[in-house]
Amino acid sequence: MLKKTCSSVGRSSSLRLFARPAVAAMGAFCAKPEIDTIYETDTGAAPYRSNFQDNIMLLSDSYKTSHWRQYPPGTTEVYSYFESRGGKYDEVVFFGLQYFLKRYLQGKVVTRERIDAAEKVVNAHMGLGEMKHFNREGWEYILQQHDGKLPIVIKAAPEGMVVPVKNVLMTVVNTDPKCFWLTNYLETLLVQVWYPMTVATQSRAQKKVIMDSLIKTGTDLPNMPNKLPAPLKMITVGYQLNDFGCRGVSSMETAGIGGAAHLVNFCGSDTMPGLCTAIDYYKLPLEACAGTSVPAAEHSTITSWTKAGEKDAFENMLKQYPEGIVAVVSDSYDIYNACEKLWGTELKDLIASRAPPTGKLVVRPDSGDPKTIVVEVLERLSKHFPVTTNSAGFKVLPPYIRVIQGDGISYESLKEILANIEAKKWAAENVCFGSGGALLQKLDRDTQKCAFKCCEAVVDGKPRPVFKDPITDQGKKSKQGRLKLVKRAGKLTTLTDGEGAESEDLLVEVFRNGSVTKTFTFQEVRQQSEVGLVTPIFDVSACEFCLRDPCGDVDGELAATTQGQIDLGPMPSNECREDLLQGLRELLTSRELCDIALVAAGGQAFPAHRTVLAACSPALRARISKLNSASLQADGLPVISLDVKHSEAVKALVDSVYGIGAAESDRQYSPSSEAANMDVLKLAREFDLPALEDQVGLSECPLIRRRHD
Amino acid sequence: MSRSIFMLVVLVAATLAAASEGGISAEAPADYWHGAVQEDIQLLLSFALGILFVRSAETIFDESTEGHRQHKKLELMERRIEIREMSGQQTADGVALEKHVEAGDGTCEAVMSLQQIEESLNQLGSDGTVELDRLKQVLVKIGMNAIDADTVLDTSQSDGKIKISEFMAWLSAKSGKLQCVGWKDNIILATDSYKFSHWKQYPPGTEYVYSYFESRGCDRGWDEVVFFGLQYFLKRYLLGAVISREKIDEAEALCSEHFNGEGLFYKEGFEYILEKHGGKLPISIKAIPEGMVMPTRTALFTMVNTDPKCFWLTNFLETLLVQVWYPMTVCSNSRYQKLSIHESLEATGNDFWAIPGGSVFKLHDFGFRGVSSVESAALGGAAHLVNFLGTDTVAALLCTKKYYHSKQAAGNSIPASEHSTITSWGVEGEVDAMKNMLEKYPTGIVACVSDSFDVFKACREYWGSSLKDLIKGRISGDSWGRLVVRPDSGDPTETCVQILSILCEQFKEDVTVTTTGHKLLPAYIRVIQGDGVDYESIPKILGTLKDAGYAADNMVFGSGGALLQKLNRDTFKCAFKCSEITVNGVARVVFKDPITDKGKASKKGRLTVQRAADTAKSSEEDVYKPRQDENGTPGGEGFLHYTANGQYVTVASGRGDPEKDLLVEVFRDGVLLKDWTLEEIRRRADIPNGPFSQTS
Repeated sequence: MLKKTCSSVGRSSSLRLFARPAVAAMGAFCAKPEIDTIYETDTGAAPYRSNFQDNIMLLSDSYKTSHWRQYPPGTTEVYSYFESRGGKYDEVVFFGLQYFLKRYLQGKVVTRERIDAAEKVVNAHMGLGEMKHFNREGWEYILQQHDGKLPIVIKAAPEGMVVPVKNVLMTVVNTDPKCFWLTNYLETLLVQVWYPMTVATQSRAQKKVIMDSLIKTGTDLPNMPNKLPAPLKMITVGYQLNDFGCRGVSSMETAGIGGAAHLVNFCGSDTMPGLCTAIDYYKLPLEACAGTSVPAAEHSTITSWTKAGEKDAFENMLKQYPEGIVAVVSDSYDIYNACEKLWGTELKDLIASRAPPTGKLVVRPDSGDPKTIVVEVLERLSKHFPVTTNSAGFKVLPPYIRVIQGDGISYESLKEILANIEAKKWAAENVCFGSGGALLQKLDRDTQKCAFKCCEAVVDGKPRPVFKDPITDQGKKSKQGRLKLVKRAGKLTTLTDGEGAESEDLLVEVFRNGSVTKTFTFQEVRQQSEVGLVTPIFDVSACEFCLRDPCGDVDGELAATTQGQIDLGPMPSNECREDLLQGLRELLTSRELCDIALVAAGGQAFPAHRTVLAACSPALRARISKLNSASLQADGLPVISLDVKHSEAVKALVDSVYGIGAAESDRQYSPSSEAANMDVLKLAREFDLPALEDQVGLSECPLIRRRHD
Repeated sequence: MSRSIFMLVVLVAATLAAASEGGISAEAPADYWHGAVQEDIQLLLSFALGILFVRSAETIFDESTEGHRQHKKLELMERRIEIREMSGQQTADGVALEKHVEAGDGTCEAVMSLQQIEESLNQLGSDGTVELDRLKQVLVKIGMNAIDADTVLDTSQSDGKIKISEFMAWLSAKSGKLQCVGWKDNIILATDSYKFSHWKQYPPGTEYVYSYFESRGCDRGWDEVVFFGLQYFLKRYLLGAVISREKIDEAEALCSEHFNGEGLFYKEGFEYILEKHGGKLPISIKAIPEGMVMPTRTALFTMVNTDPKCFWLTNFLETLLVQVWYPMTVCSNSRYQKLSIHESLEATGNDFWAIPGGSVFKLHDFGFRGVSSVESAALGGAAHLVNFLGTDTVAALLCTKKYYHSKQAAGNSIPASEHSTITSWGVEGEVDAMKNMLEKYPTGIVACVSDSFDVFKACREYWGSSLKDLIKGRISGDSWGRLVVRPDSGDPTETCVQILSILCEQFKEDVTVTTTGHKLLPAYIRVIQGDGVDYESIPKILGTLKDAGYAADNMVFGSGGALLQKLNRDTFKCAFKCSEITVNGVARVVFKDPITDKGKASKKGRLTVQRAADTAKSSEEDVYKPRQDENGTPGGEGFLHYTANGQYVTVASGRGDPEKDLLVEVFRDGVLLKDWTLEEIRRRADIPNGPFSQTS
């Protein structure tokens, strides 16, 4: 990071500078091998950590740099599209484009400095030096005419949408006739969407397999409640396939993208970068449970106790984590001995004493034939732990012990393993899975045959359909003309040659001239991707009980949940609900039925209603769901502490949620200081309350106003 | 991050405004740097260089009146910026930036653009430059050492001044970067979740954990790997002070949600590294020299912590470092293809082996779009460049330059068409598109995709007839060039044979025959197969061509998915295992040996990798024998793990001779100890009689 500043300074010499800090630093480190000297000269800086991926002109195949000379004279527009031409799965989950837009394409991506850098690389790299291939003029034009922002429009299927193969998923076209060459220059980068899309697609297919097996072996998923604080559907399905893929992918960036794609379908993930990508690029609130993990052992933490100490290692796991779920790899030496002698006999009571619903040991075999080893482990455990039979006639281990298979899991083996489990009359709920390489790495662009093709060009003002149709492979024929993704007779289909009305096009404009014009939240993505599944698991509703009895112990109340729920709809701008809002405001003013209090650090408590807050903000909903009898109290109400200093900011939040400022002009938002205003802004962003944000934006700081007076 | 960059811009504005309003110019007194403006500039630079974050800025300007004023200013600015971001008005450059400077009892509002910043800078300096020494003084004062400051300011190349225009170019580039990946630079988060829980799981009294990485074999039957790529990970992720307060806080916040608030995060452990080691990782890594070709089943690198309190750190880094499987596997896979191409060239009478002849341009990297991320493209592309010189993956050039000291361009490419640039001329216009290619690039090599509609017609009627003279004319007088015809569909083997037979017929007057009697197209025309190319299809295609009487030199290959994506950690069965642990001062061997999978047995104790010739073998007892059955000795017996070819031996149980160890210490306590260049790696990894071993 530090040295990047340097390498970026030199206009005339920026390329030389790419390598130079390295040389300088290494010169200092390596020329003097004595350790002490090395310590002395060690700068503590990180000379290489600068990001070399930020030059859009270099994020392309080399040959693309030559294409601007190759289009027909008079070309003013190139229109291209992206599709899955078929493949392993019949439908794909479109996911991941937003990452590429925000990471690489948004904003001013072309600068003079980057043009200089790219020119040197390209001209040194391309051809025999007979001519310059870098399109300097074209990039300069973008820098000058478009302030370095890409004059491109991208339309795409909404993220998370499940689309049958052979349909258009994304279209790209230039918005400036002089930049016709730019559309396909971006192909290389945009085609990398194949990866998150294929990961999400395959992960969803596995989710289907798992849900089918659960239902078949006695888990009544469709009728299971899914309410906070215990969304049972989500818990039951969401942790059945855990992402173990971080070490098995080809880079950390890949781990980030692929890990996020798996989280579209599941909650369980050990790939931290995936979680971070979902947060950074899909506005996933940290509080919302996107991906969670549990403490778990690896071989080194077991084998380091030596073979004789395996039992001590196991016992240590149970004692270090006296409650909650804990997973222990048990095949270091002899998995059968571990199941029967260690877990099943010596540590049996300790396991059973870790009380449900949260205390759970998960036994992990990690070698052997996955198909048979899982049943074998279940059978061995059943000799020592009391097994029950569920209503569908399948065996279930006691709730404090489960099995996880994390070796050799793929779409195919998952089906085989579950079939074998079913055949041996075990319920699928006894087992969950972890998948690494197969989930995030053993995929390629051919898995779903992803391709990006030009389908229309405008030459001399006239659009002409463009397509390829090789006699050597009919499957590679491409579509032609302008494309739309539409729903016809309940099915998604692609219209070509400009057919259909704009209004029925399901493709959404996501990018225009340097700006991301539509951002999908992770929650939206998840909901889209659940269309067509037997039952949605991410559709979590708030708990009705919470409203009825604010001081109740929400942890254990699940059984009391009824079907009733209150939907307050989008708030507070929805006029047809104004009477409801008015009623809520009155309740707030008279402090009736308040069941929660919001408090700034050490400040005043503001009572409110849980359902109202939860309905307005998913982040608040998540916070509310975590309240329990041990939570702090103020005035007899459980408290949510907000990380701000000014109480007036909390008040502004409550007012905004209940629409108070808008209804009563004498209570207009008016911050007393800039610091308070900053606090409001912080809350608005933390809880994703756009109405509150708007207030901040509109307000005039009194200090500023004074000066104008 | 984007916000702090933006703040930087605003701060520059504020600082310079303060400086210029105060009437400070180039003639400012020497003690100017000790005045209020210096504080401004310190603050500015602290942001600019990412040394201090908001938190530390707050500590600088704590309770003093001046500090309070500055702090207030910060808040105001931040608010403005955020509002701009929200309302979508934010633009990077050339647009007015609002500045708030509290003045007296009220607030004044000023507007400053990058242009105005530049003007102010011009007032501070003279002739469009600012004195470097002054900037450097400030850098050193705020905690940077002199070497770093030199590097940042690049003093070697200047006459003691820094050009304002250069600074502005950098600034505008910075402000244009609106999005940033926070986690990428947080080593704490570049791991598997369960690793966060492991510190509690080792035996009490654990002081050192020693682990190693190896390839446990290959599912394609290959027995050698090229060790490559570790240096990238070290430089990119591990060097220097990689743990900071901010990163700890960020990771803690994330972990508390990720583990459902169970408080697993080992904050004390990371704080210890921050405080005791200045944020540098107390780890020692030894590795096989990069580019060295090693048989499978030898240790390729080993790791151990250097501070007993950080025993948990060794395996915390496993997730990241195991990703070395990728460049290593790409490089090995690419090298096996080089071997097979080289063999075919020899068998069909090739007589030109020095660069650019021989195999060195015969396998071109087409993989950028088919890999899973830009970072993977860079890393995988670099691994391919260890063996070849042809690449279209531009990111790889930057990677080798930055991390492996390669020269300007570690690989080359040529102008080439894609379908869109041909099909956009229409079906009838295909021949015009092709002609355009030859005319736009009158000299040099040019490749043209020819299967948009009918590749055989294209070869016979266009290339072989109407455009024939243009192609032949590419070699005349001083100019040298060639057309490379690219089929891109159909069965690769059949298509290549058919196309070569058509082209050899159409250009028969110039076709030559090699010493082995194989037909070779004239130098001005070649064929590139870039579809369906992998380690299996290359020998198949070349074998069929050879049988049909065509020389391998007629062909070039392009490979994408198979080269960079269709590989995984199981291709070379890469694993990272703990083999020794020290508890209360006593070292004990650690291994796993599951009865359910013999192939997963791991090696024991401290390891050295030695040449067999250098290694004494006192008796056959010493030779490692794996556990024979369920009742055998777990972990097997013996400590000499010989490779299949008998050339090398991994000596386990600490019985090796450190003097003879091939493993070289490359990293220790945050510092890189060995820095390999692409050039030496290429030489080491080269095949017998390969291009990089030729002295020309």
